[in-house]
Amino acid sequence: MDRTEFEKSHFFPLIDNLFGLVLLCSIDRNPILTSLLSSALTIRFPPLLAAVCRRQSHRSVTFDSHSYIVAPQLRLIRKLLLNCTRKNGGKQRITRAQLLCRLGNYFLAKESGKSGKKSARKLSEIDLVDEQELRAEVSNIEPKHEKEIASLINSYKSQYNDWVFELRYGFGLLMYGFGSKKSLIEDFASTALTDYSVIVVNGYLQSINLKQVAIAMAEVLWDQLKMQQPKGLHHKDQQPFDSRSMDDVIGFLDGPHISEDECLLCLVIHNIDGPGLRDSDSQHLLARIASCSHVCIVASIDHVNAPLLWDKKMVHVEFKWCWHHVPTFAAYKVEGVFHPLILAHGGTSQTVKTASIVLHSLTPNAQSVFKVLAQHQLAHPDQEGMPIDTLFTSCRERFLVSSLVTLNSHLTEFKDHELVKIRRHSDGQDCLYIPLSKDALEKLVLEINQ
Amino acid sequence: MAQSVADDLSLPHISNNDLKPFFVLHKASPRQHPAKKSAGKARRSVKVNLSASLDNNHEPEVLDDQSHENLRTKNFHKAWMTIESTIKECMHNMNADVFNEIDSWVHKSFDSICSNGRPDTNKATCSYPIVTDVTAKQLYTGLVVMNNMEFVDDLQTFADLGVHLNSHGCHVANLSSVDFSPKSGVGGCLRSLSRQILKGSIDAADISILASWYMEKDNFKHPVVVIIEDMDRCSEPVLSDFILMLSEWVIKIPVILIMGVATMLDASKNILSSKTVQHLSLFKFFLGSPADRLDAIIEAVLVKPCSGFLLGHKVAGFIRNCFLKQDGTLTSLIRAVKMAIVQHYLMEPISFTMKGLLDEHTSLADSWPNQALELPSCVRRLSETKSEACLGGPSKMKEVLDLWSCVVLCLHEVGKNHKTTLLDLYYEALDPKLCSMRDSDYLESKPDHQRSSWNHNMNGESVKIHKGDLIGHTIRQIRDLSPVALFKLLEKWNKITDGVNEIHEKVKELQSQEKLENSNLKETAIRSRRQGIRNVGNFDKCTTALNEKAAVVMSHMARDYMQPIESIPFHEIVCFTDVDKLQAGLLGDPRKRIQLDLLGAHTFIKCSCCSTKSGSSPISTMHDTTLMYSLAQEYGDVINLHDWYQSFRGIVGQQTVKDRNRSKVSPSPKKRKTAIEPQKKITEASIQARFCRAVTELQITGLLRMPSKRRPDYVQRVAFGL
Repeated sequence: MDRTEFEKSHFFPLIDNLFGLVLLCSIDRNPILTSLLSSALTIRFPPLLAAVCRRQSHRSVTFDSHSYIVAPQLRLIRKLLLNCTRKNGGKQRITRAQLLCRLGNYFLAKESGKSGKKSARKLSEIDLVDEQELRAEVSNIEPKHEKEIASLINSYKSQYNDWVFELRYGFGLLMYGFGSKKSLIEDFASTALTDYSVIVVNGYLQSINLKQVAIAMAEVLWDQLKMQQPKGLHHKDQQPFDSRSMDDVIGFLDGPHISEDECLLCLVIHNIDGPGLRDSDSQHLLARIASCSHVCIVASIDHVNAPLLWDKKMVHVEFKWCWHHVPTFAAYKVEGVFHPLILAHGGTSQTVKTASIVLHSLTPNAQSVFKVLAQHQLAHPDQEGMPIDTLFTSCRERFLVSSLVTLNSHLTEFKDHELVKIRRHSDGQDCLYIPLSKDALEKLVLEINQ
Repeated sequence: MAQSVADDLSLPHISNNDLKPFFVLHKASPRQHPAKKSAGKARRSVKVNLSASLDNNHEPEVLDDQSHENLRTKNFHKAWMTIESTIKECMHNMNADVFNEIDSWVHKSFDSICSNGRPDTNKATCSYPIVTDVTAKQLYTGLVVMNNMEFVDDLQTFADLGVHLNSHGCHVANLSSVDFSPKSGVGGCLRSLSRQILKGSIDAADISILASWYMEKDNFKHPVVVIIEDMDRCSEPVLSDFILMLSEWVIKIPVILIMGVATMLDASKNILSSKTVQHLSLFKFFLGSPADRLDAIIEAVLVKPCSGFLLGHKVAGFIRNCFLKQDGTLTSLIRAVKMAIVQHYLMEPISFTMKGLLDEHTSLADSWPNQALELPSCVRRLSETKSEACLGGPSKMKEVLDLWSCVVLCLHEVGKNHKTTLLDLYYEALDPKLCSMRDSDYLESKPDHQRSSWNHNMNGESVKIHKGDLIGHTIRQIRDLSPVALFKLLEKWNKITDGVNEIHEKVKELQSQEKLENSNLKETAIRSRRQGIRNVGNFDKCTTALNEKAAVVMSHMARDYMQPIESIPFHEIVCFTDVDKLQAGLLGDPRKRIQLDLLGAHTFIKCSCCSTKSGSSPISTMHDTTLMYSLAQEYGDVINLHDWYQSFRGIVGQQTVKDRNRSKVSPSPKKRKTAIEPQKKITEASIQARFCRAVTELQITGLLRMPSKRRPDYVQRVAFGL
């Protein structure tokens, strides 16, 4: 198609619908789109500025590749950009989420927040209760509207058959709406999906090893096939799945094992937008698994921006989502466990339980590294922390790490989950410490050893 | 010890499974296992249950009903398969020419590589191929230009190309940009390549293994084709390395590269370094344009009732809007159609009951099922004419539909010259208002210039096609056709209308007139050429007369035979009209819906306490999180935690005050007191706990951001407005 013609047919109608602030989401990593879009914009609205946000670092979880944000106020956007870059230590990098948030907040807060001045009251003015007591209270909150919520969740049961039908014809189910959908989906899976083997992934956890999930799926499928047609399978498939590559495992899930193109496995993912799955690699992997011929997928999202995780290929070809709005208003009990309580002192501190869950999901070597650090901290309670090179030496002596790079990768993991923090020693050296009390640390070490 | 108790307390109702990253909920129930046959049965039985639940307004099912349902499911399955295969066939036909072209080029290139020296075992044992001639390092490369911004639409095309080449005796590997990521490097694509060529037996990134495989058996008689689906998205250094490596080995493994290009033709030069480009000898192929593909698919799937399933006007409008304004991919359009057919089955209990529309040879004695007489479209018609005879059966409906699609296609032939897309035409031809408009001058075939001038006066702008006037406009375009174009048009009409007697005869008539006049014209043309331009006026007059006739015929056709599906009785059985249901399934809008959930919780919870009183203002009985969110609406982009907490506390505390008053007033305070006692214990700690949990829940939905170090007393609101 001619370029100008394309601009006319695709972008102008789009642009005509714009008002003020424009955000074009998830345009794929296609270089011509960049040029087309910006030229289309400059033809139509010369003062518009197209700001291209580069890919962000691995920690800022959001969204794929390049994205484009266009705003009519050149000066405003420049100001916002400058603000962001100054914050990021002068680096010319800003995430789309940041920019979107800033722009959105700027315009909308301007309208909605006109009433009253900003209050300057401090949180400390509230008479906060002790953290332990608070936690105990949180677990004892009396549920409101229990009956109504139960009947609301029950009312979705009539749709179960429809959902099964949609699954059979190749769609993936995506549940959204306020409230924990964990019990609803599990109830659906255990009552209506008895013909399938169901594997549940708890996406709300901090880290999930998707290869392990794929291997577990392959093993279940293997068992199922063995029962169906005991003689039809080749011997080479009997190699254990643990030792195979990810491609192999996915190939097995996608393989033409039975003549009918029938689904045998159902993958249930609670919070596919959860912290452990929010990076694009995980989402791509999940999409590949979801597109396998023997796999169907049921997932839930809670975050309002979750759709930005997927590009068009994933949505249309791989996941093939069929959306279902199923608000339950049930409390996010498990999902919320890993979030710090806002009124707790030092809101970010971890409890022993959450820390041990994170540690158990890590490799044995990483656990041992953590143990070395913990033992050092217990042995030297008065020190400010353990210098990195000391940690490296003692870890290498125990054959836990071979190089500083591996150690650093473990440490990054710890830092991400706030298991370990860094503070400056009095002599200027960076020290590592675990932000837990002595008792808590002792208990944690005990728990890892179990 | 106190710690451990607290820890245990903090995680109640949480089973072990909840904290595992993943677990197996259950394995497939054994009843599916024993044999293949029973698997099929199990499947069907679920569907029967399903339709039973749908049909709950009817009597409990008898055996007859069950067989009826089985038939219905079978018909649905057949319709689904037909749509899938029709789309596949459509794409296949579109691409057949290019594929054949590519195929012959591949074999030609292979021959020319082999002419430089057929690979032999001696060379293969060398650790590195010795290449003396620089030209021998050339890698034959086909650039397949996709003509399409949206890569998604071409995924299947390249998969098909792989299959096509494979069936013509090539070793094919399909690689995508994922294989060319900087993370996995050149080893990643090589591994993927050898996986596909060696059929997964070896998992190593070593090209010499590939080379020795190529020498085995008859492998060397066929070319190796590597298809890279989306060159534009590949990592440049990895792709360059890959190409350089292949070119070094091209003598041993005659690889032919095919790369999909979405952007410009010179993309290869832009992306790759000049050193790499030197090694490519480029050939170009062009895939069909997306517009053509769109038209072909709409024609095959939607205009011709291939599957006995049709879309209503509003649904077509929604799909059209999605395509034009939102997504722009053919893939999404196809997905929408598939979603529509599934929803139609689920919603309409008597859908797919008739084979009538599906079968080629319908029996004349067919009729609609009895339940269908209660359908609104049927009731309406019955009340109008008071006779059942006029309703007709499925075969009658098929006739009407055939006529309709025939006219739409004829119109499209006209519109093609002016780039009218079939999608627009289709959308307009479905409009049930067309029927009522017929009596007015809507389809009047007045000359176009009269109308356009009228438009001009009304709007003060140049000729613009009014919404809903596309058909009229298209008919008027017939007038402006040149004799040659008209001739071609009539030929095409002739082809389209073949088999539809009513229209075919008229077209035949037109054609014979045309021929007659054509022969006259030729004479006059020759004469006029001799005599200069004196007779040109006469010449024009003849053609316009014929154009006029064609336009009149067309407008008559549109008036008499273009009956939109939604104005036909019983259309509910085959036609899907619920646009809301489709939209909800296709495009979830979590950002809006989750906020609406929070702001209008009582519509879902349906409790007696929150909904009736005081409309939207927050009250203490509300769900904590929704209460907090409605309080948050009063703030700007940041919320002061202290203030927020205080107002939350104030509202939650209200109840206790009220209750205290009530208990004072009530005649039997003691009874009351005991009843209320457990509720009343709203301690500071419990309020704080509820506040914390509500904040956490809002954080999970992404509507709040936690306090930063710089602003420890504020949380940030993320979403504003719906």
